[in-house]
Amino acid sequence: MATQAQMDRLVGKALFSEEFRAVLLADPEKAARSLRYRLTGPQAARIRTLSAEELESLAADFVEATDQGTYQGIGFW
Amino acid sequence: MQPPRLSETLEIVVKSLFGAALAGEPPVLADGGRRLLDRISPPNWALEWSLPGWLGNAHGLDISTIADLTLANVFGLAYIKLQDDLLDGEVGGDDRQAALLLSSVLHRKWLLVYSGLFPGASLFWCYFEQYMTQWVRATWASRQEHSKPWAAWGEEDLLILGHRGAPLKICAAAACLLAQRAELIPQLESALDHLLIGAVLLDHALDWAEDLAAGRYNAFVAYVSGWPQTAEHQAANRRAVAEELLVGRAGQSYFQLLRRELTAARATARQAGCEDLARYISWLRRETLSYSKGMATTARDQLHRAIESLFVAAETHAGV
Repeated sequence: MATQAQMDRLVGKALFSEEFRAVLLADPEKAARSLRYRLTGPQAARIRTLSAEELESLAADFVEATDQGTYQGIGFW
Repeated sequence: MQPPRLSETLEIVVKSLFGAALAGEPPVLADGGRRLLDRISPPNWALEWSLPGWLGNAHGLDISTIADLTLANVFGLAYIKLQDDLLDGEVGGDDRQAALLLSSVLHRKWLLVYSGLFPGASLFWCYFEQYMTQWVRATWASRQEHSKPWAAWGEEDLLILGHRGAPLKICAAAACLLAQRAELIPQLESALDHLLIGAVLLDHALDWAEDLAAGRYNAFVAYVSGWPQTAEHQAANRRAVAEELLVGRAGQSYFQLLRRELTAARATARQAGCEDLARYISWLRRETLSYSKGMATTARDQLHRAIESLFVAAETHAGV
């Protein structure tokens, strides 16, 4: 069974690679195996509910949002 | 947690001397100088304000000399900040003319303090020239297009990056010469070079998005992306950083390098007998660690929440 962090990474990787996204949606178990993760039946079924468009749209949102960090810079010349 | 810093009394004295030095200038410049001083005052720029005192205390300089060295450093810091603003095009319209004149005044005041401490033939002026040359070269390099992949970066590239802060070394050379401890200058220079490399690397990790948008070269972006940092490749670079933060190693090797530089800086500062500087470097090292961990955790939390929402939406849609 893939852990929550592994599930996040698996889907997360599909956000940034069209090739991996296609493999994940067509064959979630194969995509998981390429990262040395093992999915349970319900986990694979869950992934099958996703669509390429949704993943693509989420990737675009992330690329826009990643720079909105709230870290305070240090003083520097 | 705040960084270690100079005494409040010394800060008040130096601010008062700064204001007095600009009092004879046209009001628009004196006002501009005061506003600039507010921007660069502690707790920000703690290193620049405190270093002369840390070195002076470690090597027995009197308080009046320490105040002079701190004042000189604050003039230098203000001058450099204003130069950066002007180079970045952040000062426009009528303000630009006043900023150009203020910049000239600050540079003159900076030199005036040091000329009261060192005769024209002093070795100090060679250091001044050397460190300002380093700053000019590093500043110019930071505004050029870079094509070198991160994997090919060597110590020389890192040094040039750190030389953006080279003017800080001027007060260190001054303190050593006034304390008759010129033999410590190479050690302190090395400590500050390592520290400045670490500080610039951290600065780039903090400001990558802003730099990318402004078209400024950024080392963190170079670390995660092989694309040139041009407007044409801005989206690809942004995507590469997002990927590194969300599903990559969140800049792990970059931050390891940064911490190695700070570790070297701290060891050399201790060898040079400046325990306060070493304590500051320890603080910065802890900040770096906390920042890099925070950056990775925040990115992963964001990813987890987004993926969960995606699943919930998809399952709702599918009637699961």
